[in-house]
Amino acid sequence: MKRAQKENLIKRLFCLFSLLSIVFLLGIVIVLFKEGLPIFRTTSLGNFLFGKFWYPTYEPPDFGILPLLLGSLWVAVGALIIAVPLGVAGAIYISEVAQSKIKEFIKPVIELLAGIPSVVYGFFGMVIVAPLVQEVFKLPVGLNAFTASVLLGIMAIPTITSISEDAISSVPNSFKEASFALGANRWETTVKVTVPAAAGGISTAIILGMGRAIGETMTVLMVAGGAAVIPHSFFQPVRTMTATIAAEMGETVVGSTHFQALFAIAIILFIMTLTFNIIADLLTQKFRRRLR
Amino acid sequence: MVDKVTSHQSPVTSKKDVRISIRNLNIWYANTQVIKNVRLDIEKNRVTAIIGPSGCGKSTLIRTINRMNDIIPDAKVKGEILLDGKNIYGDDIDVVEVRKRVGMVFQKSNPFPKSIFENVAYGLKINGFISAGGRSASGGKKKGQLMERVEQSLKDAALWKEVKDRLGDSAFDLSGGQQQRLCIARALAIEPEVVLFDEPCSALDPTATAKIEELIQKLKKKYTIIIVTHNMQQAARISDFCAFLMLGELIEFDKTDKIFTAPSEKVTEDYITGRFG
Repeated sequence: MKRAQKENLIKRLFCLFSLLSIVFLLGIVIVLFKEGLPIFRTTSLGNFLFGKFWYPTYEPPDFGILPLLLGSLWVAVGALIIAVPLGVAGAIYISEVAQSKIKEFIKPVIELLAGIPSVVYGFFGMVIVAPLVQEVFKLPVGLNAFTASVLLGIMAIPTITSISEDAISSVPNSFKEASFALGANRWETTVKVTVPAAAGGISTAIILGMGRAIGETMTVLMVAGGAAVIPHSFFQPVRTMTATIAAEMGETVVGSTHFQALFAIAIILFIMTLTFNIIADLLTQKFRRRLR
Repeated sequence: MVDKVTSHQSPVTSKKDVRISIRNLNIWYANTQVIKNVRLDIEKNRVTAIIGPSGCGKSTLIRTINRMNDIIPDAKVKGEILLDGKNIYGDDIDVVEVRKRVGMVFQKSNPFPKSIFENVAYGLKINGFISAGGRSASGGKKKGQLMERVEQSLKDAALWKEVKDRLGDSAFDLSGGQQQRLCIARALAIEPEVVLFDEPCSALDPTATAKIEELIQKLKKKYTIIIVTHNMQQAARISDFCAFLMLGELIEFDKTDKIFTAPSEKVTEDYITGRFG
């Protein structure tokens, strides 16, 4: 009897712990919407999303986040242009080409890249990458969208490589055998059978990498240049949504319209990353069904 | 035992009917010898079955004939396999060429996660049936030729009628038996001379099995067929010659009727009458 009670108590305790994370998530979402939504009493959703000017401290203020939205997208897309080929090629190399000894060395090293704090990337970017970019492209400043893209790209590589590699390695051997038996060589088999069969997992990896790039804050705050203007080139300073929140939140009056606007940016970010995660999840499911 | 094998008369009557000749074949996986000094002549346009208890080396033997064992890192092959008189383990041999001439159907059906059409067209595309440059003017014609070959292969594999209206569907939408026939069509598309079947029906129900067996009977008119099977009734039903393998050694090789009615070795008789295995 006593034992059963103990059992029951433990069960409830663990249930409570697991519920807690849901409670926290819910709490965050509620606060986000409660603090952010009131901005739409002063600024319409259209003006907020597509307004070209972000002048939160002017009188009257402008809360158009288009420059920030585009800043985030430019930097994220730039990061993907760098990270997708490198990440996917790395994954193909690790799972299909490398001998097991090399593989056992490279995979943990790439995953280690994910463990470096983003402020270190930012620091590395300010001290090394930015001056280099400035020099090579003869720019007035090295802190711009391009530099941010390079760093975010490096940061997204572990996510993309690791998940893509899992997807490629889980392609059944029987597909490869069938391809070899038809007279295909290793390269043809990799390109025409293995990688297409892993396409679902690779797209998941890319979308999660995109989510990482959009959500990253510290690095872009340090190296993207910080100008809240609509970017026309990769070599312009930009400011992302995340950097805006991080930079301005400390200086606003709690409950002011500026404060509300920053929360509203957070809502947009939340919706974007949520969407990416849902798409990634759907792709993973579709992928599993196909390889069943 | 080795003496017995070498002293055994080949049941293949005339030399010119031999398509594949396996000579003193030895195979090791790491340090374990799995095939021991096997000699075997495979006759043209006949079905040769390889039977024997689990782990006797049947699959290893058949996979050696189109060099699929190359993929296994620790496998070592010694001896000769002559395909039309030429050793496929010779130094000047192109493995890809061997695999084009010797097709293979596997134990578990393994269509690619592509459409039915693309599955059959895969080998044709890989092997340059469609030339890389022929996109514009000759593109339409090439596409037509490709379609023709795909259709013919599906017909040869007795699958055309069932899939002709849904060539674009995923191969995974087909039933198990249909998938296996698709794999046969895929192997036939590149017009091999020999087709290897590695227990092609082990995952199929009796109806689907019957269809594959019937198909193999038809295919021998055009191809030389080697089939590994667990199922002795199947070997008796469809093969012309039968090789009995045990612990990596060829115990007996003869016409199928002879093996199943009057085997020369006691152990063969024990196996086919179900006393072990």
